[in-house]
Amino acid sequence: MIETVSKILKSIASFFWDLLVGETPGLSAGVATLVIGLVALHEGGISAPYLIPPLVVVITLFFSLRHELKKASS
Amino acid sequence: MSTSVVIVAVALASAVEMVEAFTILLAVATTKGWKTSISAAATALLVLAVIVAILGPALLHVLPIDTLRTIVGVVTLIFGLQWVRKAILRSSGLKALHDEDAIFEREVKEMSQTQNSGKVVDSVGFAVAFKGMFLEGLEVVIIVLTLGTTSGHLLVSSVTAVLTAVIVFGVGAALSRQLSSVPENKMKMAVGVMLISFGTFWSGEGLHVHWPLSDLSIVGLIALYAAVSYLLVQYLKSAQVTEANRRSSAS
Repeated sequence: MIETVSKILKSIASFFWDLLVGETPGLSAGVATLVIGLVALHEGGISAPYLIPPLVVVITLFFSLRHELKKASS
Repeated sequence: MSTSVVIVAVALASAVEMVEAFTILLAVATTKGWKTSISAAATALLVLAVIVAILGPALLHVLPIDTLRTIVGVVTLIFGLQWVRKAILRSSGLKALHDEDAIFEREVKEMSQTQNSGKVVDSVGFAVAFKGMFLEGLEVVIIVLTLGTTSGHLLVSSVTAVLTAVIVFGVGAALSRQLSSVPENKMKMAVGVMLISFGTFWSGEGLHVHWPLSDLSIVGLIALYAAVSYLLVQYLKSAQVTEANRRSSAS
């Protein structure tokens, strides 16, 4: 019983780890960059231009996929 | 506008995850009986419902709307990017497609190797079915909570997810086989694109980004990310062909 519960809890912990960092830390880093960048722009008194968020998302996705391509080629 | 987009996103996400959950439940039912499978699924659904019932109102009433939008936007973005990334890799052939038939066979094989407890509800089968249903359902819960709370349609999102699950399980049970013909990757790509669009919009809103067309910007973001995803699939495909040609000419 304890073993079963422990296995289920481990799976849940691993689910959240994979979701936020595990498999693709680059994605989380990209999103963090987006938030920090926007906060910095906002705190600096400059209203953040709306093109920044989609641009950061596309660049993050591109580099994450390019990394996978390089891994597959090597 | 945003209500229908939220409903479509939740329905597609729920369908994809419930197809995966049903494969595991069917494998457990085949080897350990339907009682084990159904009781595990019902328990997992109950736990998930409690999570939505507690976290949904708590998120809405505890956090200021800007903070909620930023947090939910970031979680939705990370979650959506994972889905889109996987779907692009699968569409381009860099990653194998999710194969429900193979998963079903593997689960049945693993279950068959364990001894039956002789009880009405087998404990090993229950744990496997509960884990499968709970983890797949947790992804739906995250989508329901993020899309539902921020758009103000938590109830609609929850009902949509439950109805979709009922339909998927109903069709699966009627056919008595795993639903391997569902175009899972395309659905995952569509949901991922919607999630990153909502995530971009809400994290921006929370951080006081002024969107030029207000809520309508979400449609623009969906179109942009869909086009980018298509181009990235083509880029990865052509890069693989170039690499294969380079290797064959080198050898």
